[in-house]
Amino acid sequence: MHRTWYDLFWAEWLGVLGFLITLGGFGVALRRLRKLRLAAEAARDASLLTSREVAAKQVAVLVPQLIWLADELDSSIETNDRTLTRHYLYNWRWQAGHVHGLLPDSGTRGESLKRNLQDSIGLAFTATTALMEGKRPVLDACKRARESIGTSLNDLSLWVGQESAHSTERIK
Amino acid sequence: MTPETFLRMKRIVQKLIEQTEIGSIEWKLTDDEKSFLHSTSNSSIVVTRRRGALAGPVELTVLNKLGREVETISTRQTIDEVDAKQELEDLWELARQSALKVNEELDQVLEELDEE
Repeated sequence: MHRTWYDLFWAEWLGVLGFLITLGGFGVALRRLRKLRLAAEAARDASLLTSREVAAKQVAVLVPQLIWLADELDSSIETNDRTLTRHYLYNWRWQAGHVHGLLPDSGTRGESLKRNLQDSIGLAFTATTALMEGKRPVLDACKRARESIGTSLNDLSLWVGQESAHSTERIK
Repeated sequence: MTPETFLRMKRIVQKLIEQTEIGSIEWKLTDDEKSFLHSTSNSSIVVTRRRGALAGPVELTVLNKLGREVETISTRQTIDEVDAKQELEDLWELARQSALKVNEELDQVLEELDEE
């Protein structure tokens, strides 16, 4: 006997209905999953933002100390004081290392800030070696280190300022 | 230095040689004219030729992100392997060439001589 597609028994219609209900349920589940994923992403972004803000605030507290250290370093270079300059270069390595630990891990900006700090740490180390040789004037023996410290400090101050401005905008 | 640390330092030297040769890393000039610096975002590597009567020993120092010296390997140390000593010497020369941009400078000299 020939049957058309709609010419079904009631049990077969039940099967079709069940299939449609399953499809609908699947759609609802997919929508909920998507909403959950978006909520999780938003929560993750908010958490990253908060940790970056906290880091920026902590670095902001340390920047004046770094500026003071750089000023003292400049004074010791000006007075050609070899021992004091070595002392401040060593202190810079220590302080810069501390700030390094607070900087965000992700993003190219974080990378660049860290690399600049790391450069200043390495150059402070080699300037100490140059100063220990004791033959050249102090300025000549730590010029590159001082320049790198200046670059790193400017970069850090700029980042702290930008983070602070973003944070204020978000509050508004 | 333990044998394990020595092997790691040796591997670092080899990697630095490879990457300097292909130009994927660059070295910087420092205030000490015989020292050259390469920094990553979490460490600084300094390769130095110490003063000596002739060519002084070569040292490679790794500084961590806290500015502390993590480890130093030197041709002056009793390195049993001749290879390791030669690799350190090669690295210093490659770092010097990279920091001073020796090949670029020489190309420029050649160009200028051709123009005369």
